[in-house]
Amino acid sequence: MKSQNSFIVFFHKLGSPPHFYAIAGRLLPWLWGLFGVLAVVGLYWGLFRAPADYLQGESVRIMYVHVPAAWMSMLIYALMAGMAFVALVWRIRMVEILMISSAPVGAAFTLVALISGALWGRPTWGTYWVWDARLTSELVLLFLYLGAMGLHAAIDEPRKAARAMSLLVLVGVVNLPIIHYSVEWWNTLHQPASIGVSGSSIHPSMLWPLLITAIAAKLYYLANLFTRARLRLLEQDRRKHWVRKEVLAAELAGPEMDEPGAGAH
Amino acid sequence: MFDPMTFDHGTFIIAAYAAAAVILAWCALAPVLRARKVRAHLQRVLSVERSGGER
Amino acid sequence: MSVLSGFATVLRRDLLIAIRRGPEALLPLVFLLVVVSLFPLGVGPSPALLASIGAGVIWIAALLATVISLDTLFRSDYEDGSLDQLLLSGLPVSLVALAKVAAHWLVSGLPLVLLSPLLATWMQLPGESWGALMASLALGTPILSLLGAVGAALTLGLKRGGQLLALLVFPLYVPVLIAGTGTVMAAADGLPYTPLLGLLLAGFLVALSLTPFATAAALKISVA
Repeated sequence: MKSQNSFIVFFHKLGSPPHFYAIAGRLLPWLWGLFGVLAVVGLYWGLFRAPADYLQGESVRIMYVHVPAAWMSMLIYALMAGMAFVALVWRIRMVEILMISSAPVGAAFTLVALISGALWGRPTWGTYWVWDARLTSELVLLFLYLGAMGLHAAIDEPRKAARAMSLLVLVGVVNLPIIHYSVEWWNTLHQPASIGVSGSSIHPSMLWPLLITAIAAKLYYLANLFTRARLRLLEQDRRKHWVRKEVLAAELAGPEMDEPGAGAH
Repeated sequence: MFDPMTFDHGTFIIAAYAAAAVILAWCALAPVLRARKVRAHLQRVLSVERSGGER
Repeated sequence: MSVLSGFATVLRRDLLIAIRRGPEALLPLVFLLVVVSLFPLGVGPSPALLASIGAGVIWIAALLATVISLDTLFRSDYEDGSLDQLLLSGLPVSLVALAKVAAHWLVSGLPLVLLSPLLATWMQLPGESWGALMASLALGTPILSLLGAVGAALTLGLKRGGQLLALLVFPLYVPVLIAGTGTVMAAADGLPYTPLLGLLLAGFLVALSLTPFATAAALKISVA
């Protein structure tokens, strides 16, 4: 009973800005550190140790960047949709801030997925781009991210901006599968070349580095999300007492009391 | 215009990894740098207040 | 204030304002990307079909994006009174207009030129036509900005000014559109495209020398 209690207490604490700020700040070095280790291990493995593909050749190594990025682009949007729902129904400010802070990360992953996908497609299947369901949906997803970020930036009042963005994200998440299947249907009428990783199972020697980079991507998302959420809290709550205490404490502790810089490879 | 088909796979791999690195590094660093600016600004504001509010 | 430094001052001011507005300044470009990507969804993904309409699609999207961004060329300055200040400053009004158009092109036209290889990829245009596409856009988008400024100045402060602006400038844009797409399609077919490019250059020089005066006259009418 007691452990159940403290778990609930922990979640409640996360909903309060000063506690989130502190807890996230303590977790950040671990998240970045773990990300760095896994990213280096996974990418080195995929780049130099894993085998080339029988059919595709060396270009399959792009998979270790492209696939985690694509997974994250969709996962983050789904998480944002969940947060949007909670934000609209329960109006929890911390959830709103997490949602807004997730958007740029999701957009970045989508962009990486699109660019790496195009660079994978050219040497492997002969073309940078094709309007099949998968790639088109990924492009539309980028537009959805940009639209949500643009809408939020255009509204001055933070709570109102969050509500508007939540609504847009929910509309988008419903639309995304519809878009995917309508483009798929459209394509079956016109039968162009279909690009993408085929449904065949991946060889274990390629699966392990892929899983490692996928987990690294999730850690990157969490670390980046916490950094951005903390920044937003600092800006929005700058007149509040807890921020002043925090800034003063940092000043006393020394000039460079920041979370460690990005562990990006 | 050069024909990208003559590039070998290695060029594409490097280009893809490089693009990912640049985008993700920028995405990670931007809030860190901005947080530093915000904190420095707040420290200045607070020190002004503590010294009596006269600038 | 000398002519050159006056021009530089207005140019720098407009660029700073655009940069400070940040993401908002990127809206016409995102619009361009969205519009172009709608075409394959509307006409089907067949590469041959897309390549045959690609030059036209990209150029039309450039027209639309320019018209959208033209609305902001004078509007915010008009609304907060800084346009009056600029007109009263003693600088030749045509110079002010030219500087504002230059800033406008740098923020919305130049990125378009730089993005055109991406659009060419989406529309499956052959690699031989990419150079012609960039060159035609590099010469054509300034013409669009210069001509569009006249329309923007005429419709300043009017109700439904934005829609009226589109109506006014699109007939003026038709020759530019034809020359631009003609250049790209000639290149795609392997034919020489420098004659049409030369026509665009001539058009640019004519627009550069004449439109600032027309824009100045229009501004004086609208602001008076």
